[in-house]
Amino acid sequence: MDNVTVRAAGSHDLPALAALWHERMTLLLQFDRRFALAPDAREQWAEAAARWLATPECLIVAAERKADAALVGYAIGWIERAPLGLLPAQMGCISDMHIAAHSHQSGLGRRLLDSLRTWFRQQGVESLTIRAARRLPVEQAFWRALGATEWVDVMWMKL
Amino acid sequence: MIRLATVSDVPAISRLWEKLVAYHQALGQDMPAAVPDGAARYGRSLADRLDDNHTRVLVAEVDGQVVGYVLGVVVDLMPEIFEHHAGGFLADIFVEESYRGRGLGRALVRALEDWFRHNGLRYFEWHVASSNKSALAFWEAMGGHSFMVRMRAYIEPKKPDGAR
Repeated sequence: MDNVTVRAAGSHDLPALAALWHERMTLLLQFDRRFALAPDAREQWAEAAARWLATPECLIVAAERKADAALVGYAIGWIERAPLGLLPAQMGCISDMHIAAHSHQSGLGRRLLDSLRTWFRQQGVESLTIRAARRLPVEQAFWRALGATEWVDVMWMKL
Repeated sequence: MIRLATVSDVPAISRLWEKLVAYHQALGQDMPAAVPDGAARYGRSLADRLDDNHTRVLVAEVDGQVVGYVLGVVVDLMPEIFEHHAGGFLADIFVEESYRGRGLGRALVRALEDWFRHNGLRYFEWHVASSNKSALAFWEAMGGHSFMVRMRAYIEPKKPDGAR
């Protein structure tokens, strides 16, 4: 997809990133009420993302359409330290990835992943984890096709 | 008997933690290994946190011996974004193999739930190795739901055994 540039995101991207994030959460919410959002969630997320942009352990990459400079996808990578006493000492983590609905099937997901992979490699990270929604099998299938395997279930219970 | 852990329990809990790590390692090579002095580090950290109001460590004691434990914390999982309020996180739970099937794991979880409720929490989360089928069955029987899966991949594709 040559009409899209993948680059590191900046603070000027925050409104567009928040809109993409909200689109993803709206999709997730259809499958799982666990993802119900607060009324001002988009603004809150943008504030949090502004902090992440200033964090050396985090990289947000954005996919920008050349024709109109609109963002059509993003991914967030983290360097995570292992819990106390465990190895490996650090791992990469992809906490979020989203491609705008009209840009699916364009190879963008793979390009965003490649961009994060390059950054992870520079940080000395050898393996990574990906957070995928349990009830979105398409999302899991995407990662499985790229060699990822199920590792840990994140579970919850009401009290 | 389920009771609050004390500093004198830390060596026993550290040994249980070593067994917990070994148990997970036996599930597959992708599970985290312990650093050489991992148990000692874990024990020191635990001892420092026993008086922390946001941490709860409970032990299962049988005939004066600590045979299981659970570690829970109050956490802030971005509640400003989601409707959910602050939640709890069950970080570790382990029961000695020879004492399983007696309801000790369930009792530890229920006691931790009581503490979470006492702290005004409405839910809690925990992680389970996807390859640990008996643990997944245990948690589903307890009323747990899997809502996210953490998948694992390598930055460079893994080479087949023997390949250079």
